[in-house]
Formats: sequence, structure tokens, C-alpha cells
Amino acid sequence: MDKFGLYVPQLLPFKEHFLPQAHPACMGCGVALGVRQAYKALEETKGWMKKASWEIPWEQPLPGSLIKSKKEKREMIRPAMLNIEKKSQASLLICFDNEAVEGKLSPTVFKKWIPAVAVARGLHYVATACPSYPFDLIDKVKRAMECEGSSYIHILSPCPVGWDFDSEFTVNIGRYAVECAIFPLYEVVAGDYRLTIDHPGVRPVEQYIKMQNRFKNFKQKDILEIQAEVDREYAKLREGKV
Amino acid sequence: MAKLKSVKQSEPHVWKDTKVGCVLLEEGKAKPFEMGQKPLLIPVWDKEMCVRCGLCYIFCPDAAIKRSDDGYYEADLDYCKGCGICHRECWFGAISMTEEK
Repeated sequence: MDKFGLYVPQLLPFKEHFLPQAHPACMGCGVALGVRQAYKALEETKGWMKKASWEIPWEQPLPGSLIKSKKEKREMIRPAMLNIEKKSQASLLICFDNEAVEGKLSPTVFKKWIPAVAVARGLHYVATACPSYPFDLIDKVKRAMECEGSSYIHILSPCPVGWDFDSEFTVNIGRYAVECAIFPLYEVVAGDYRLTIDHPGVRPVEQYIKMQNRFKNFKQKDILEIQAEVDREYAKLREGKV
Repeated sequence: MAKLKSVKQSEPHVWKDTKVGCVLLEEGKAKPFEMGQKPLLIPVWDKEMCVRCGLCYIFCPDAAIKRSDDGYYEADLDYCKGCGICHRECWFGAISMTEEK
């Protein structure tokens, strides 16, 4: 990080719209951090509700990640997606993914990748983001608000309670997820994939998995399997053929 | 636990204060809550090491870190939960988590 990058936080607006009083989240919550950073991208408009705690109108939250095998859980995505498709007005759907609806953790079952669903549904702007990269996240929310049609942003938010790690590592773990290419940051404009943050040297997935106690039942064989899957997906993303 | 600011300032609400027809003149909201439950460890800035970059400010999930007039940052202990992200993310090691006196 150069000197300019280090001092950039001071260029952001200091006004807080997402009020600290309003959330009873646990300490070190990734969702709270993501919401707060996303709010910094939004400028005040007529729709703001001054007296409410979250000064912007919002709709039902969407449950986190979804699993392939269970039929009922897979259906959770549909109401929110259908809702924004039906609207004549363009809207922004943000999913804060804390990987909580995983059910039984098994290395052979990967979570349903909702950004791919959103691309297939034909939304105008689809992106993934992580609060460990705040300027990238803020840029993406801004771009999503500017685009004409509906848009979707998938935000990885580490959960200290669910993932079982110390609360001070929230930002660190998000950074590891991106550097291990297990959660690549990209944006899709009209079907074209583009990586926004591309690390030249990708870390081994093992480092990310070893940081969290929820994966303590994973064996070396499982980790190699995950590494192979992640490498295959990331090579596809780099070439833009998804 | 969370305390209501309005309750602290005024006298407790009794049945005589209820308006005719149980009309509520104020909407319910979470704004007056102080969600910071007294943290075990609080962040303390070392002003000699601090370069005023603002990384602690952007990574605080509770929006508890505020910029003071001289450009340095300090935590608002009403809202700080003592998670320690600022201590971990500070590049210069200027923030230490210490026990509250």
C-alpha cells in the first residue's frame, strides 16, 4: 500500500448514516461493517427517512448462503430475486453472506453461488465485495446505484460467532478469503466478467481454513479437494470464461 | 446492558402519562439506545506512533471511532464493544487494548 492509499479513509464522508446506536450486533460483526461501508456510498436523496435508525428505506433481508442439497433452503433466494425483477423501478439487492445456512459442514458440498444466479437472471450489474477492501466495496455500490436497471451485490461478511474465531480477526479473515481466491472479487457488466482485485500470488486455501474453528473436522485430503476446485474456478475467472 | 437515554433523563413512564385513546405521539425507534456494553478492553491511542491515517476509523463496525479536532482519532466508549479490529489493523501498532480503569 502506498502513502496515498494509506491516507484515503480521510477522503470519505465523515457523516454516519448507519447509526451505531441502532444495531445490537455482536462485537466485530462483519455484517455491521459491510452495511456501514455501503451506506457511505449512498448520497442523501428524497427517499431518506430522517427519524428512522437506518435512514434509508430497505426491505426484507435475505438469508445468507444456500446449500445445493436441501430443496427448501434453495427456495429462499427466489422471493427477493423475483421481487426486484417485477418492479418497474430499478433497485439494488445486497446479500450479506455470513455462510450461516450451511447446515452440516461437509467439504464435498459447495455453497450455491448466488452471483451466478443473478447473472443468469439478467441483472444489469452484479458484483462481489468484501468489507476488508472498503474502497472497492464503496465503488461497487456507487456503480450499482448509477446503472439503469436492477443490480445485485454479494458481500462476504465474516461472523466471529458462527465461524468461531477471535473477533479482532474479522477484517483479516476477509482479506485471506480474497487472497486465497476462495471468494474472488469481481464485477459483471452485461455478461462480461472482470476481476477488480487480482493478487499475483494466490495463497494456499489451507491458511484460510486453518484460521477458523468451524473447519476443524476437515482432513488434509478434503483441503486438497477444495484447493483443486478453487484453482479451477479461479482460472476460469481470470480468462473471463464463466 | 442497553440503557434508554430518554429514561435516564426524564422520570419513568406511568399510567397517568398515557394519552387519551392510548395515542402514541412519538414513533418507536432504536436511536436513543446506547449499544456499547461496557467493554473489557478499550482501545488506547499512542499519539507518538499514530500518523492519523484513519484506517481504524474505516474498519470500525460500530462507527465508534471519531476524528477529533486535532486530527487524531478516539473511541466513543458509549458505542465501542471492544472487538479489537482497530488494534489488529493499525499499521504502526499505535493502538493497544488495555483494561478499563
